[in-house]
Amino acid sequence: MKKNVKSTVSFFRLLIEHSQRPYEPSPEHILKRMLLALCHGLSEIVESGTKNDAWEVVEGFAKECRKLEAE
Amino acid sequence: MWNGTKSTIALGLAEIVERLTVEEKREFTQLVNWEELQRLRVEARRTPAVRPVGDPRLYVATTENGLSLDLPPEHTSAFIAMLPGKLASEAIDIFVQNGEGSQETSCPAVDLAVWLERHGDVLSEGAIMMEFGPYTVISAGGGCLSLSLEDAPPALRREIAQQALALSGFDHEFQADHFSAIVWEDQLEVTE
Repeated sequence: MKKNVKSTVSFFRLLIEHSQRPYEPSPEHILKRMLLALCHGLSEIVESGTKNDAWEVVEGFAKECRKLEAE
Repeated sequence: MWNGTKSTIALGLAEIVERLTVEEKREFTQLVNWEELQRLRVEARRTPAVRPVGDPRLYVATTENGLSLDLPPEHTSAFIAMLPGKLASEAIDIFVQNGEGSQETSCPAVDLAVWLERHGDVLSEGAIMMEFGPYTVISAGGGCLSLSLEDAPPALRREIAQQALALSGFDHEFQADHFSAIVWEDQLEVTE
């Protein structure tokens, strides 16, 4: 798996991790620490990645979603 | 969930106990399951009805396959620098990403502290992924980290979490495989 794909999926997982914490992180924390990193990763894949990279990101997201639903 | 009747009973009992003499209270403690009451009291404290909002000073917790951390930003570099030793990694693959693009590099474990010192700006505000062999850490800036420790023994997670606390000035030895530790102001609250 390419680094940019792995990194993008990892930041999606970080977002899920924060939703499971015993407190609610501030909107600023969610934006600065997770959403912006996700946006950068997704933008780079759209601009310079391959269709396979994009598919692997979607698959990575779906894998995390399945784990979440199974909990 | 308490209903009205139960609340009334609980309140009535509490009032009666309050009116007992010391000797009667002593006898009462022999009659009730004191350990259960204590456990319920701790549980109630740990699971508030409404989750607090905001960003704690420190948070360390186990996840499905690793650790999720929010460390004081000034200790992030030291925390990452100690990981190669704990994870027995000799080289680190680094992927840095920001709004202007991304960069890939690698560095020997012995040079990681120097790399972190030179790239303090990225560590404080950028997005970084570091691969320590099979293990991965991502830093979202500001001390926000996620460590993926797939197939690592629980003892290793405990050890790394304890080190994170120690670097931040707190001392606790985790016993369980799943735990969390949080500091809002200066008090360490641990759940195992």
